[in-house]
Amino acid sequence: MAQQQQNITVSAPGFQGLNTEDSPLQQDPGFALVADNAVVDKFGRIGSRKPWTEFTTAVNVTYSAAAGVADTQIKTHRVGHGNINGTIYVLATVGVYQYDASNALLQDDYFICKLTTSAGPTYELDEISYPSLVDDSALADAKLVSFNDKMYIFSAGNECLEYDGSTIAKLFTGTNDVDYIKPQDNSGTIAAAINGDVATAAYGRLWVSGIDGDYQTIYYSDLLIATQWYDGRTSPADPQNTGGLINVNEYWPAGTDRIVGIVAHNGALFIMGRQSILVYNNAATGDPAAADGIVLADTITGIGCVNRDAIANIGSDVLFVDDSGVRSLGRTIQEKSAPLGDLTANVRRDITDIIALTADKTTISLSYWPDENLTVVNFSNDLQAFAIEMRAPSVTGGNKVTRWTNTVWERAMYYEVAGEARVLLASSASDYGLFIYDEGLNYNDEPFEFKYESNSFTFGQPANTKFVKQIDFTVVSTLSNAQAYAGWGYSGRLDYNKPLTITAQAPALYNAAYYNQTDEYGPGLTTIKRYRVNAKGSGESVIIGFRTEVNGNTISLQEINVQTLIGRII
Amino acid sequence: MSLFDLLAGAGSAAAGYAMSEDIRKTGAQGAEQMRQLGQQLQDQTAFRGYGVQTGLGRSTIDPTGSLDVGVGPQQAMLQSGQSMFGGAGAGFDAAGQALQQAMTNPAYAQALTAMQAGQAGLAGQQAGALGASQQAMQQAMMDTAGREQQVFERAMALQEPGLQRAQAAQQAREFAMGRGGVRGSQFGGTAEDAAMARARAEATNQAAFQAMGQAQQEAMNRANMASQFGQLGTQAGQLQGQLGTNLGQLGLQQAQLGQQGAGMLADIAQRGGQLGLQGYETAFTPLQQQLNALQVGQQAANMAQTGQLTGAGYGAQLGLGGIQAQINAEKAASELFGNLFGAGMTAIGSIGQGAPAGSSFLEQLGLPGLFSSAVEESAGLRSLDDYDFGK
Repeated sequence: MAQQQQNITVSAPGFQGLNTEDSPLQQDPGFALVADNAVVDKFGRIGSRKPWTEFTTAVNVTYSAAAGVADTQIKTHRVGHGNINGTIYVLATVGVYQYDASNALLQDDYFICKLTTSAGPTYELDEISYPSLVDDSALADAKLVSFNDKMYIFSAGNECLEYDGSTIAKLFTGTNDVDYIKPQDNSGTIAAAINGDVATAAYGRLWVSGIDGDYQTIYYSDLLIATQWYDGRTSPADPQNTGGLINVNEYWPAGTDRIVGIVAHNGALFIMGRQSILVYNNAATGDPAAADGIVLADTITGIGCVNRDAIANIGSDVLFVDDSGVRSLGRTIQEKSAPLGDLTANVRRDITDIIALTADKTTISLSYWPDENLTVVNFSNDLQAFAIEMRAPSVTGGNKVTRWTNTVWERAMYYEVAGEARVLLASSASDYGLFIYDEGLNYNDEPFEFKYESNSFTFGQPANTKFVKQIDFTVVSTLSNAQAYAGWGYSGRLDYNKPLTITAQAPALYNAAYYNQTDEYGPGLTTIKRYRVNAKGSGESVIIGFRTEVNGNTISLQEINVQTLIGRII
Repeated sequence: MSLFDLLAGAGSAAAGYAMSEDIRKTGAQGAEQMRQLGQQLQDQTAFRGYGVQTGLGRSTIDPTGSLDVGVGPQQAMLQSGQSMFGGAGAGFDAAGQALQQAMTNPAYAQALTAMQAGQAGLAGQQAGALGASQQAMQQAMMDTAGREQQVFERAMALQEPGLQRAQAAQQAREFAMGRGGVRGSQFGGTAEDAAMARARAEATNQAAFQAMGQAQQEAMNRANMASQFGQLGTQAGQLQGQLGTNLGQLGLQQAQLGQQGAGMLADIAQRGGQLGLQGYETAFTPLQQQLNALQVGQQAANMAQTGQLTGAGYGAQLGLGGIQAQINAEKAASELFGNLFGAGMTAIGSIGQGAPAGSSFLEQLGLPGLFSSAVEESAGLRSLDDYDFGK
């Protein structure tokens, strides 16, 4: 006798993001085993991310061609923005690498470029000359900081550079005690130059570590004066100078550590060590060294930051990348490193492995994109990233996480200009300068793959054999058709695949001419369409998959219905 | 002078000479008579001595005036007086010894010794006090910088543990607050470091000022001490002076005692002497009595002598009267003869008294014109006034 099929509906599949931590059989169906190049869209569905759209059309740098050069790579390493006298400037450091035919590096040159706009608008990166540096290759990992109508470029071993909107000069230019005050006391000069690479601007000061390779001391500038630093002499050059320094060497809770990053939040200064965190309160007071000045409010051990740029201030909290994943500073402080502060708890082992296997931790970065409600931890060395949905956590408490692939950018930067929010990506793909995370074609016009795989379903009857007969995919797609593949399997992997053509439906658009250039609205056709796939095979657990190429279109997976027969108990 | 004056003079001289020879002879006769009268009177008025016979003995005065009392001092009385004198001398000696013993105040030596000891002690005390005063004064006048440094170092050493504890506590607090590594330009380190440094500096300043004040106070104290020691020395000196005064008074009293003793001894001696003298005088009482008798005899002798002298006086007066009468007669004759001779000579001398000046000798004799002027001139009878006769 024919047995009745059971319909198992997976609404908003994968919208809980990846979960590789919990038992697949115990998971909510909203979790996904694979969610590549996916995000949780504004309707709570899992959908394709936006592409890396080309933003700058040229990188205008001048360099000499090396003899025997066979390949030249122009990569954008770091990007930053700042407000200089009311104008938003974007600076980026660019490296030009020339290789021979055997891919051996012949010559490398480094540049500081600013984003320029011309009619169109078109954007380009134009070189800005800068004074000679001790090691200009350190610009590849420079820190760009905006402070008091100027921008500052910090790089390890190189004297800090100051950009005033037109030229770049060394921070200490002129005569000591007249044009600037270097760190000094009665015993002499403490540091001849501010040449650290861990820097931030907060509470009206610059806070810098790594000066002369010392990652135990933070030098902070005078209030709103970037050229005046600690002057501990009996008769300081400027009696109102409140610059100073903080040596944290004795305060690491684990005994020893080194400063990796400095971040300001909520009136406090968070000193991110590699394995521990120091929280200084009252950093926003007039003089940090005054009696009501900064005070060590808390120390956190066993948790730290992997890299200077693996920190993101999301306004209400500070996120950072620890060896265990992305952590929430506020939650960490509140819970003393309890797992609840672990945003990537659902993919902890995956991300931990990646972090551990990343030898060059400077390739790890974290950025917050508020307009997308995303925090992205990027592993540029592995060309992959994890996108963390910031709107609401998953049912496990961990945030909804998806994985992005082919992240050919080293750093991402969110900023706003003229009311427009932008997420710029420093391209590691040659000669692209900056990408922008926005709808459109991928930077190289090549599609990327949106991929979803569910965890294994037992439909509440783990002992019975399942016979999947049909799978219905409810897909939201726009703009252009796309080739998709539906997959299913019974052994924890997709044993079967069937191609699907996802038909694009133009969305209803306001004020977009459709026929006769007079319509205010587009046709308003539905963008949601169900695609049926006949399935076969049997097994105790079922896994469902869906993948499609994305290139100029958008895809969201709204619902999956699985028609299956429940067999006998094995 | 005229020639007549010369003639009168020569006549007077010759008459005077003859008369003086007569007077000289008369005088010599009178003198011889007076000598004879004197010799006679001497024999008649010479002391012939006399004697007094009493019960005590016979006392005689010979014509030479030699007295023979005829009695001596009473030996018994004399011996008794001598004996009494000797006894008085012995008593004087005994009294003198007793006085000498009594004159020496036995407490004087003790007082003297005590005063001397006191003086010695006071001198030592004075020397010590004055030495201490001088030392204190020198110390008071010394530069206080060294002492200030000492006091400062002691003050700092005293408060150093407290400061160290305070600093350690401050550092501990600072470390607990995580501010141990904070250094600001305004403070060099943290405000707490600056406060501690300021507290240290203030403590140092306070200690320095206290040290200065303390050193000055000590100098003042030493000055006061010097003054007090000086006063003590002065008081010791005054005491010494007082002791000296007392000692002087004691010496004076002792001297007065000695003087009184000596006076007493002198009185005793005087009384002994008087007693001896009285004894001695008493021993001569018979002699005195004999002499008194001689005085009675002398009155009788005087009466006899007076009779002799009266008789001799009468004889002498009569002899002198005769001689005087003779001499007076001679004198009157001589004066008469002299007067007569003088009147003759005066008359001679008055010849030519009315001739004018330059009159010649003859003119003065009242014979003008007897010879011419030239003859007179050549005879030297002119201008007799130009001759100096015995001028």
